[in-house]
Amino acid sequence: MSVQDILLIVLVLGLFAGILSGIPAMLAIAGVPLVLALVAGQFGLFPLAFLSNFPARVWGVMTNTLLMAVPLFVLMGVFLERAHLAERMLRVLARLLGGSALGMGLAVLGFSTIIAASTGIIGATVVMLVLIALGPMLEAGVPKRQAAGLICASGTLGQIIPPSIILVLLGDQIGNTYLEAQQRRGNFAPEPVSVADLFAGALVPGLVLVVLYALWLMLTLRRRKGVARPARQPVSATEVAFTFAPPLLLILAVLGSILGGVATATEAAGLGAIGAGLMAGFSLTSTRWERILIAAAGLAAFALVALRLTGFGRAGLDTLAGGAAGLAALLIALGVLVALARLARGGLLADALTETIKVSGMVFGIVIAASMLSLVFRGFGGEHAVAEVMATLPGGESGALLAIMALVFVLGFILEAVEIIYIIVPMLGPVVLAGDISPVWFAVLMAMNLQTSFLTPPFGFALFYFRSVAPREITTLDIYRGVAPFVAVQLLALALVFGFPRLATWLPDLMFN
Amino acid sequence: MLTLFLAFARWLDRLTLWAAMAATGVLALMVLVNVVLRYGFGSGSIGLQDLAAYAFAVLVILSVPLCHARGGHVRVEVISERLPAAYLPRADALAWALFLVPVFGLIVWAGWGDVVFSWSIREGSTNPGGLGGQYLVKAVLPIAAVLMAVQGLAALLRGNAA
Repeated sequence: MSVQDILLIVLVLGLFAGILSGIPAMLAIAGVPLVLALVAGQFGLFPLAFLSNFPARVWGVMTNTLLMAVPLFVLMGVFLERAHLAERMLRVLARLLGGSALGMGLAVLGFSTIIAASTGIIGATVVMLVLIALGPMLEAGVPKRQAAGLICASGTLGQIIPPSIILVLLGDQIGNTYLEAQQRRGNFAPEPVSVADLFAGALVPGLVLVVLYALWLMLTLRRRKGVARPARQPVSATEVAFTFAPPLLLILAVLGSILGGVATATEAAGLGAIGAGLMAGFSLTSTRWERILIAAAGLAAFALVALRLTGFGRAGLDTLAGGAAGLAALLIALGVLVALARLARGGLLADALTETIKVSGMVFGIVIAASMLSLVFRGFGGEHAVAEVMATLPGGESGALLAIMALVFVLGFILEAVEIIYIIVPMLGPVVLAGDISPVWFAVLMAMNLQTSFLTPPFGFALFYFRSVAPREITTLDIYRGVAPFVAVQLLALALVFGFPRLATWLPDLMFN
Repeated sequence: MLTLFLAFARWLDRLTLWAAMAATGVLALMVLVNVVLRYGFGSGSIGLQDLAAYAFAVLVILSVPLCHARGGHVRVEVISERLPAAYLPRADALAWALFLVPVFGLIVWAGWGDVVFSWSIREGSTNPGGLGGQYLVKAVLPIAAVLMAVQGLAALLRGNAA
């Protein structure tokens, strides 16, 4: 074993000690490698000139237009949450289906699928489901273990169902790593991997997972004995339409425009954020003309997309289509202004922006810190060491893939998804991505694996969030037992995608090739 | 002296927050404007796209100290929550001196030459026909690094004062 190998082992161990010490993880991820590199540099064991690349790496993160979608998707989710739009959907759903235990369970699952497509932040979804849905679920006769399991499992759906922030980050990392690895192997024209590819790739596996959950509920969910069937509360059709149509349309538009190849992920995320802002503004105001203007702006945005789709894109202002586009632009401007004024007066704008900045800081802090780690890792020759170790594994590429999957699963107990993606993919990814394995399939497997690991007792993140807000009558053991079957369902779905890569690659091939 | 420093840090934080909020707003609105231009009129403006990119760059780097000042960076507390209450403040102080200051100091120290050069030529966007003023955005990087050190220290001192 060479000195370099020993230093690499010290790096990895130091990294874990630093992260587990309880200090902000980003400081450990950037700090431990830097200190080790500085010390090793004194003995001529690390090329210190490497470190002067760090500011350029950070600037690279700041100018990475792919990551632009991240704060915009966060803003979209925060608007939907802060304006209680998501909460209202769940309440209406609960009243609509609250008559039976199974109906209630499926309602929560359906709601989570929709909301997963909008926020993708595990903590927020789990906490909201506990606060709003747990009570009605128990009243409807859902056994408490199953209720706990369903809420935790549903809360993690946002990781895999697009548009998910995790998939944007995976797209960034896997895209780069794949390109580099392929070029080093001599393939100078690999097909680039885009975020849209990953969104398309994750859609089918995500829906398969939801269907499996639903089947599991249908097979096993029985009303708890001794619970009276609660009376159904009437819900009018207009209420349902008004509560569900806007958020659903927004999410479909965002997802559809990406998958349809009309918009980039960033454009779709920007439209999603503005659209969610319009809805939040709409729900805050009760003035009629303001509501009309805001709604008109939303419709005008759809009209613009429709104009584009029907090929009227390049019209001058003097033509009919050009005039329509001009009118739509005017309506959008007016509606956005009115909605912004409302949001600002209600205090919601500053609140939502602050929260968005905070969540973005959390993500970008890790991204920036990880760029230091990968710099030092390369400086110590880590890539070669990893390639050598991986070469000793049996089973070639699939052996390496399985080893990475097992590692990611274990790491998921202590690290957040962002950290894992930015640590594991650049370090271990090249071995797998240099081969003929589909990068989209690899990304989807990573996302599903992370999601499973967040659900697995005793360290799953979803369980911590659940515990932090759940009543004491539901013991921690109840949560573990309730979650166990869902973990099994997850593993089944993961095995399905592993065994049938077409589940992940079929839709992207169909859409983009 | 301590209260003066903490007040200064808070004032800086508010200033940073305003800048980051403005950047977030500009980012969302510029993406919207670009989409409307492209979809509705089949045209686009490289200048406006650059403005969105500038806003994003400012948001990325300012969000890090803002998140730190709000205690928002992820911590893994599996072990530390079982240790005595005095442990974490000490670990944080050590992390500030050993990790935070060197890492963000490196950004200032190693990146200074690039920023000075960028100012000296009044560097603009690399896109042809793009917006000028990229040197202003580049200058935000060392500023954010210093802010990170200040907010990190303020968080420590605030914890001790409380």
